[in-house]
Amino acid sequence: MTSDSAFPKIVHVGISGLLVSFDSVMSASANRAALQFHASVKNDPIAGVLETSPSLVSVFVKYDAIGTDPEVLKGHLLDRLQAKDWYQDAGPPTRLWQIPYSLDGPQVNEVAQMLNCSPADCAEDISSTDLSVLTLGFAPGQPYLGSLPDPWGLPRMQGINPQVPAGALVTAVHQLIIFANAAPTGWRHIGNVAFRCFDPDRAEAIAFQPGDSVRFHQVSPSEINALREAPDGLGGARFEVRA
Amino acid sequence: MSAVSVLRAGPLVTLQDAGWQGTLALGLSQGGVADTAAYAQAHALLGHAPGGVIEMAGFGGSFRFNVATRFAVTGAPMRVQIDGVRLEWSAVYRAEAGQTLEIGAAETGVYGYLAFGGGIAHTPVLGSCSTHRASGLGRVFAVGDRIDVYTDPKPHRFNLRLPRLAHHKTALRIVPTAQTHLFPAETLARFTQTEFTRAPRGNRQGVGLESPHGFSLTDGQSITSETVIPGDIQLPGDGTPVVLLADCQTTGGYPRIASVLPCDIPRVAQAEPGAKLRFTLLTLEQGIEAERAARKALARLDATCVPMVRDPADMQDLLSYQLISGATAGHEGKGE
Repeated sequence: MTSDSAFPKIVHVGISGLLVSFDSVMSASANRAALQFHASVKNDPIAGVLETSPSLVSVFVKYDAIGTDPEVLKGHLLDRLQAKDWYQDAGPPTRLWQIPYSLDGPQVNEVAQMLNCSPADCAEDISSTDLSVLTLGFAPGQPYLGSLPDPWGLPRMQGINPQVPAGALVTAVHQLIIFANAAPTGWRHIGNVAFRCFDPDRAEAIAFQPGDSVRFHQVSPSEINALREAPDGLGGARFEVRA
Repeated sequence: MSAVSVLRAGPLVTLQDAGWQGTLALGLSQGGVADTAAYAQAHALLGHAPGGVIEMAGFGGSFRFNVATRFAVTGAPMRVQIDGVRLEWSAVYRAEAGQTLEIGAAETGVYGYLAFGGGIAHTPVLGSCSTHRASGLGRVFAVGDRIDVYTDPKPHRFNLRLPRLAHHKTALRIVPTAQTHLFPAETLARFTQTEFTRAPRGNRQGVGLESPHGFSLTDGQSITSETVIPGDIQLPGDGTPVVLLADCQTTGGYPRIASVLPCDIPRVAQAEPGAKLRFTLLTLEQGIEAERAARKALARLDATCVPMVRDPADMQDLLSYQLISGATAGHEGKGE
């Protein structure tokens, strides 16, 4: 449940979209609700829905502007919203990743200072937290991972880093992102992975799914370099599905 | 042998189609052609279902035909010649083997399109051949490239043109979106009363709108990142609204004041730096009706194609034309 009874709510996004929001700010339960609702509409389709896309605390629903009455669709979505408590924990994750990373980003000392600890302590936090893929966005297969413990609630930078490389591990607002492509960012670059978020030559071009569980373990920068050549294209990441 | 060889290409000449469907949840935005209307026009002229086309941003290139191939040119009008003979824009032609097509700079607008009969052969990734350079998807054309096309279903349909659309000066139509209700009525009113100037910065991800007084959400609120779509008008912190286009990221954390109707997005995409843009706010119902009408007009494009009228002075193959119908037996006037 969320403390704000205004949620969940549905608003229009132009003439071809509806946004189902589970809260106004990020929280684990609202994120759970978004991912579970998205999975529900995907697996048990509602008439008129072309696709759904979850984000941190909401689900975007796309429909054909001409062929579908948005008010009728809204009614169906409200019925589905009332079917259960979407914020409720659905049980342990079934898809688990273990991903090696190196803590050699140019801003790791800066972040350690902001957290009032050592880089080794940062690594400890990263390696010992059960993270989950909160959403995929910004680029194909790019995961927003959360949530890190409280001190990691760092704001985005004032300025923009004009480019972090593909595989950059960046942090802000209790989250970590693995960058899919070289791109500008306002998040702080603290590490690197060999894992490629999007690889069209791989059997699964996009390997992450929202809701996946992720554990990082620290390795050396040279190991990360070597893992980039891993033939399965997973950069040393190991994946298992638990029943 | 490839149908077409690229002899020269501008810096942003890419392979595009209608883009990706159903991939928002993977972080892959729809992408595809920046001007969906020009894309529809190209295929109305060709007379077949849409496929892969060449999108030319600002400048085209030179293309040599190795086999007889139909081609259509639509979108931002560019100077186009075949073997030195000037051609009209918004038309479909047939090139013979050995001819060279030259497409220059856009005279107005940004995106020109070159489509071939049958469509460009390609290997789709996740269902589309479109080009998303940052992700390494698609194809950026360069000197020496060879282009194959699929079998042309209508090889005899050419020398047709579409009446050039009058350059719209009417306001772009916008409708409410996720954060519209957070804006005071005065801000929305000011937005629709403002004449914006398309900013110098802009690309397939979006274009900036400059104005004398900026726009922002009061109290500098930011929102938790959520899915954004082409047409959404975001307000980043610097006060310059940005209209999102085909390659926009799938999520955004900036408030959105309104969303441009899909049928009006092509006009935003084709606004060159310095172009003036105004907006008018419709209700959702009005927006749906406008979109419905636009879609109907696109469906009628096939029938709107008209034969080219060519100046005989331009017809270098004049002698091959039979200008007088009928034939004589050769012995009239012998008084029989």
